[in-house]
Amino acid sequence: MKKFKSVLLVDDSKDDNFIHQRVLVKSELVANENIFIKENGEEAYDFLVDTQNTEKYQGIFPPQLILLDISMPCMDGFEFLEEYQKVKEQFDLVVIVMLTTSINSQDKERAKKFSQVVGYVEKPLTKEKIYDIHEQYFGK
Amino acid sequence: MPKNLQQQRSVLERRRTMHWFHWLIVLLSLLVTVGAWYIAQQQYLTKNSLKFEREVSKIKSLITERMQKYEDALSGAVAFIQTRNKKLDHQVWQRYTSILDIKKKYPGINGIGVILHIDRQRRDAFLREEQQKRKDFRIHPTHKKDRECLPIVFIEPVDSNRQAIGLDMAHEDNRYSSAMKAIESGKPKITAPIVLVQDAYKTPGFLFYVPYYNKGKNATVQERKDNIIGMVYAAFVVKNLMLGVLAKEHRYVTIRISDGETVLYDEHSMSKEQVFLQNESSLVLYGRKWNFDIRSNKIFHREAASDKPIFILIAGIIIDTILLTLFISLSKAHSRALSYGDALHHNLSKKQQQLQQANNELIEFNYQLSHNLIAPLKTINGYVYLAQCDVEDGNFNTATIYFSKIKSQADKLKLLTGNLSEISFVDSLKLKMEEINISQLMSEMENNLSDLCDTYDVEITTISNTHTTFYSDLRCIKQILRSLITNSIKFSDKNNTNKFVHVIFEIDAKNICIKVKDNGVGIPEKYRNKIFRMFSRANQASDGYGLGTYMAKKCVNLLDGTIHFTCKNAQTIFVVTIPRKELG
Repeated sequence: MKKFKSVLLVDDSKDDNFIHQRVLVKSELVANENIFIKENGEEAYDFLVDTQNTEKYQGIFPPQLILLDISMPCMDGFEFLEEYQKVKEQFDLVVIVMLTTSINSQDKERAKKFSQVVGYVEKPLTKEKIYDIHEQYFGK
Repeated sequence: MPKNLQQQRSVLERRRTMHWFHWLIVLLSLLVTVGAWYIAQQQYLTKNSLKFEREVSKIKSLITERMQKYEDALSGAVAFIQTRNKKLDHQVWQRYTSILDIKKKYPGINGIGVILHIDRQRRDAFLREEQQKRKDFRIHPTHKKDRECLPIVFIEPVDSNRQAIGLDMAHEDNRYSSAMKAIESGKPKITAPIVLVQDAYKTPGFLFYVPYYNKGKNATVQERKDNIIGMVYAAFVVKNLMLGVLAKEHRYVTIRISDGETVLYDEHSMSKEQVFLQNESSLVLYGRKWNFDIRSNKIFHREAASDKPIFILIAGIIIDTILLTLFISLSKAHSRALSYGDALHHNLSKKQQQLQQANNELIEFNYQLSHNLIAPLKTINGYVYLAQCDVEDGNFNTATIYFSKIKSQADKLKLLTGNLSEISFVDSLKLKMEEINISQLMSEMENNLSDLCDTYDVEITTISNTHTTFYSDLRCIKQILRSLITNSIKFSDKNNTNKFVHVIFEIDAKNICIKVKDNGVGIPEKYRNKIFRMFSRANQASDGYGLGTYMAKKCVNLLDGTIHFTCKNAQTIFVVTIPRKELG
């Protein structure tokens, strides 16, 4: 099975990041060392647009999959998406899946309007959920 | 504003001021008023002039009738004389006139007498003949005019007319010419104005002649001249005559009578009233033309005076004024209604805005609250899932770690519900003012927060000016201080070796000012306007729910105070200002 080269987790909850990292490793779809963790939208954006990272993380940058939470301090998920719009051409192979506690339908609708967002998954992440995402990404 | 309301409003807007049709109504009613007044005035004038005309003709007919009556008396005397065969003498005349009772029946007559026509040649013979009967009789005054002799032979009453006996009518032109006209025409005649010899006041008067003749045809002037015997005559003082004619009448007019240039009788000069109505006309009386000048007097105008036209005018103007006032007050009422409506509308839209804002806040609160309640549950779910996976793989070592993680999530939920109940407590709080001792308050705060201070290695310093106590609600003050100090501690700078939190009390005559100052990490620029919002967390390091500052602000608002902060020179200062209430 083809693995993700790398995955970026964006969530302010340390617990959730820990859980999601473990589930990803257990699913064997990405290597533990290829998981990046950022705790809010701003950190994630800065990480993505930092040109040095291409060299620093040779072969695994940019991440193929971003799992994005909505509710975060400093810059939330939607604010991140607005910023990301401006630079999305550089990341045409990157897909974003919303991974959030929100069961609010308005949030779901709002997220779907962004072309890079391919999925909307409720927390917590499970192996089944990540397999679905994987199939969607590589099954095309 | 809805369309139908907008229409109603524009209708009111139009009625704010008076329009052309209002002015037209006022103008028309003014015209009607003036018109009615004018017509009433004209009617009044017409009525008065008709009344005046009636008065004039009444006066004139009274005078004519009276003169007719005198003529009848004189004609009666002529008939008496001519039916006697004997010669007339003084005693008979006296008797006749006393029976006639002229004083009573013919008031105004000064005297009634007989004049004889004596040819010049017979004058002396006549005089001698007469003097045999009465010695003192003589003809006077003497004159040189070549005329027949016309002496007065009898007159009654004698006492007041003694000077007239023997007076020759031929001595004076007015008396003579009228006498000759009477003789020649055979008709009653009056003289032009003369002064009677017996009138002590020398006022105007006249004589009234009726001739009588010897038997015969007496159809021509010559026959009458040949057959003339004499005349019965009456003397009048015009003043007395008028008193007789008009004495008892209720007079509405004053009269002036003149014959040619001579004024016979004049009432006008007595009064200097303004003349309103005047009539000038003439009347031909027994050969003389009398000119009448008749004027309305005070009594006439007093009786005729009518308040009707002026009443109509005043009433009309009052009604017009009321109408105008009505229109103006209606316009004002509309204007007031409009202002009131506008104010109401303004108020309502402001209220609506406030409600909308409150509603938005409530929606946001709901959203944040559900997220904050669900998030720990989902995390717990995640740990349970991981534990299951590990157990399935035969790995039991991790379970303890996951259980402690699950417990800490449960604790987090407990903290949140605790915070929420504090918020609802503040919402329903009723202020209880009491004296608060600053050092007591702060030692309690330090005690409560000592664990947190130790964890972050921060010390709290209290600085207070002269005051040791102040007056406020203790629960609110505690809530404010706990929120602000907790934030200061939590956001202290890990890399700083000299971390501090200063709590400064500055109390003056008006306000209680509490400052919480720290040299922590500060507040990021973009978060500064969200600081006091619910569930707003400014910093990654935050492990709370972003409710502290929200609660602090709620408490400050309860105390009618203000809260703001500054971030300068690596220091963050929150300033709370509360007005002192104990002063009343």
